[in-house]
Amino acid sequence: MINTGKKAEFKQLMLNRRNLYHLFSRLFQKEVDQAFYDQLRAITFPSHREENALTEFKDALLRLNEYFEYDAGESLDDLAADYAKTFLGAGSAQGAAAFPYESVYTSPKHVMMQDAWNQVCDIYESKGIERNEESADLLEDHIAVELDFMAFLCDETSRFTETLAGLEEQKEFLNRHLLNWAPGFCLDIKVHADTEFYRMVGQLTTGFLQLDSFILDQMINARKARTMCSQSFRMSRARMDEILTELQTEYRIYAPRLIEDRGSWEDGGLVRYQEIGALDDIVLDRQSDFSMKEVLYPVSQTIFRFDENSCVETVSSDPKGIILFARPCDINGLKRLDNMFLANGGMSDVYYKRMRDKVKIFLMECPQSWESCFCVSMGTNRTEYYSAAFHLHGEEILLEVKDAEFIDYFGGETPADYAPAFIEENQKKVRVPDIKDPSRLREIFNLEFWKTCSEECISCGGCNTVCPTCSCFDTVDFLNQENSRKGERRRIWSSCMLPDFSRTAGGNIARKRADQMMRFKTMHKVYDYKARFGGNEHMCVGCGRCIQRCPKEISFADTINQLSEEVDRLNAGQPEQE
Amino acid sequence: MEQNVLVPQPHRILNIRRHTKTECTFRVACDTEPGFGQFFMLSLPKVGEAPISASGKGRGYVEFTIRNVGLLTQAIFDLEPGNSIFLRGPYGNQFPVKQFENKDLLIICGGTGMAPILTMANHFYDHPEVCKSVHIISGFKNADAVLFRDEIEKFQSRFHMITTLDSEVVEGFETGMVTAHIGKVPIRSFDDYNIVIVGPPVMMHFAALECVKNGAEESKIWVSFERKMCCGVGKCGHCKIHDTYVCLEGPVFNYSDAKDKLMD
Ligand SMILES: Cc1cc2nc3c(=O)[nH]c(=O)nc-3n(C[C@H](O)[C@H](O)[C@H](O)COP(=O)(O)OP(=O)(O)OC[C@H]3O[C@@H](n4cnc5c(N)ncnc54)[C@H](O)[C@@H]3O)c2cc1C
Ligand code: SF4
Ligand code: FES
Repeated sequence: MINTGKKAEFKQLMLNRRNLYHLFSRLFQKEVDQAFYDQLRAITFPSHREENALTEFKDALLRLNEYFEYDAGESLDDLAADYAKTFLGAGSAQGAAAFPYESVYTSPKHVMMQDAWNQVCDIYESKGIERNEESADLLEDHIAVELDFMAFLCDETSRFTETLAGLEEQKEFLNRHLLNWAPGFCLDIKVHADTEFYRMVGQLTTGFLQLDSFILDQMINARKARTMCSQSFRMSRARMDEILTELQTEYRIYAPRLIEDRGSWEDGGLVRYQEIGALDDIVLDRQSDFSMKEVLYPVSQTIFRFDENSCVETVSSDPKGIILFARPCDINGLKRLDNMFLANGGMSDVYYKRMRDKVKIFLMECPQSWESCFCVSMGTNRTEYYSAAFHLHGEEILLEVKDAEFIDYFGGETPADYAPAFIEENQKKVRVPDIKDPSRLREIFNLEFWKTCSEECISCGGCNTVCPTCSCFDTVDFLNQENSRKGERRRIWSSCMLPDFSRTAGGNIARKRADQMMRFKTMHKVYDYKARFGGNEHMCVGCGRCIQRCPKEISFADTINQLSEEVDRLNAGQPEQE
Repeated sequence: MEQNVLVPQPHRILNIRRHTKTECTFRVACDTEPGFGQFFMLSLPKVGEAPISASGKGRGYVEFTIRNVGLLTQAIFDLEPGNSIFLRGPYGNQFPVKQFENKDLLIICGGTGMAPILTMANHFYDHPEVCKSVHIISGFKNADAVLFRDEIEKFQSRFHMITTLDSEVVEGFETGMVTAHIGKVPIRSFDDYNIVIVGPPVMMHFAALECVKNGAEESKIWVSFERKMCCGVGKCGHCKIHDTYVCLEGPVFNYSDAKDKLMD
């Protein structure tokens, strides 16, 4: 069980580092008062490391212990006077001092507010940092502010799930900025300070920064070495539940879950993606009625709030990541959504992207092919895209972990020999139409077949709603209250099977009839998407949910197959059969 | 911070010019300069958002000529100079004016369809040396529906300008649909030329057929499509026709491509 709690351990380490940075920041921010003096005296510094690189720090620690053990005879007043002399050049220093600003140490003329100052200002701004009151009167490249920023980064890394990026960011700032000038500055402290206390502070600071840089390197290297791993394990269901609980401090976990009081049209209960707490919450013996897209692309989503004079985007500050337990077809569906939301038009949709960036996929191995599945025909029965894959159906859970982030959670379980199995054959087989040449499109467009295949369709749009790859939306403005000036614009799933989808002012509707809409939907799913984005993938992933959902029992699989036959006939130069 | 393309910004209305009971031109303070034929998404929080072409541009402003047809457009008509209107854009492609240089140009527009071609027509008015000749046929329902009277008068001095009313006989105007006047333009005698058609879908359809009947090649005809749009940036899916998104690859299309590819 070596790995249990490694995540928590990592988090604690980040928080300890944060506290140390705060402490060092405080040392330079202003004079020492009694409370802070007592706090210093009580603190224990990390000293268990043996590495040579850290002699500076070890020496400093010894000095610190001695300092507090044998009263050096320096009063708080002495320290305050020395602070003013050393860092502000007051009194007998006659203007000479160890000025605690990066740009004094890095600019050719040794003056304040030069390049380095500009750079750190930009960095703080890019992080959206507001300066706290205590240090508000210090320039941004003051050592106390830079140390404080390191504390901020440590805190951030402790909260987010992408730890490698966070660690790299810390290292970058530490090496580029603090370590680039603080050691020189600390040597100057030795020259200017009269008290043992501040001379010691100089040595301690350099030592601490060097130690921290070393620790960061170690953590980064360890993480990099792990990113391409693939390890398999086995464990009991009870153990899996423990880990799920642990994961929930960092992630919201979504999986198919039964909503009993929301009946589907067929039988009791509707299975949709919802947050889960334990294994038993996951519905495994049935396909979810809705796809997982609603987790990252909600049915209705506020895009901004407004009043008379402004539109302000509200960003959720939920720091938790998202884990999605998903089947291969839906995971392939995610790639289609990515194309639409992240790539189409060369712009990414920030609402989708924000959620997408948080998503980690836990593949659920399919125990069987359900009645309407035709994933094999669509080439979506397999996927490589997952952080971990699970066999959840037996007494024992089997899993493969590919994403290093999750080794922290699962790494201590019993090793096993497991790789997810994929469905290789469905009952339903679908053949995609062989449209060799776009010049054929007009003939295909004019087929009588569209009328016959949509005869029963009542244009309810249910098929679009359950589809993992349908992504269209309308925007609608809502007021907080009637007559209020304030409100919000939301985007709401839309459906190309509804006549309103193509309605423009004056009642003009581009696609009014069911056959026009059925043609539009079908062609998009098995021709247009691929024609636009290239590659080998069609938009339809063959999950079969639309077949299950349709109140008129129209089978989209049959529609595709019949269309293929019609196209074959056109290819062979035969007329359409009545 | 990533750029969020869906959030519009407030812009001040500088003045409003009334053309008819249902059509006004709004001049809005704006520093972004749209290309010929591009559109913006205009919105009023509380009411909604819609695509509107830029009908004019100048230093620090953009103009929109809007027909009052529904919820949003009605709400825009209730505004006064000094009020804010929310914008994002410009979006879409442009008329290929480079290709029009040193050739004859025929523009056929109906009703508010004159709005999207206006910045381009003004450009050729200011630079009469660019095109060999410019012919404009603009059609309106009746005399009360005539837009841009000042511009039409102005264009008459430099362009071959035909302004026609569907069935009304009024002094100073021709009578009949735009299609009835296409035969007056010597398309067959043009060396090289381009034809731009903007208006309601039915009008564009018949005008294009009529041009072809009069000897025009399909590949020399350009049309501007109108589709319902909820985003303007290729995300909402409303404007899609086959593998094309009108908000991205349009609204301007070459007729020979559009005719076969862009079927609903
Ligand atoms: C590229 C482009 C350029 C346009 N340029 C102009 C212009 O310069 N002047 C002008 O008066 N009109 C123009 N239109 C049409 C204009 O967008 C509609 O008249 C307007 O959307 C009607 O909105 P409404 O709320 O008043 O009508 P409603 O019927 O109440 O419409 C409700 C919603 O439906 C959508 N909608 C309705 N009609 C259209 C439509 N024709 N096109 C797109 N979405 C629509 C909008 O999202 C609108 O908010 C253009 C349309 C397009 C696609
Ligand atoms: S679910 Fe069935 S009836 Fe409803 S729109 Fe889709 S195909 Fe038509
Ligand atoms: S308008 Fe939304 S995709 Fe074109």
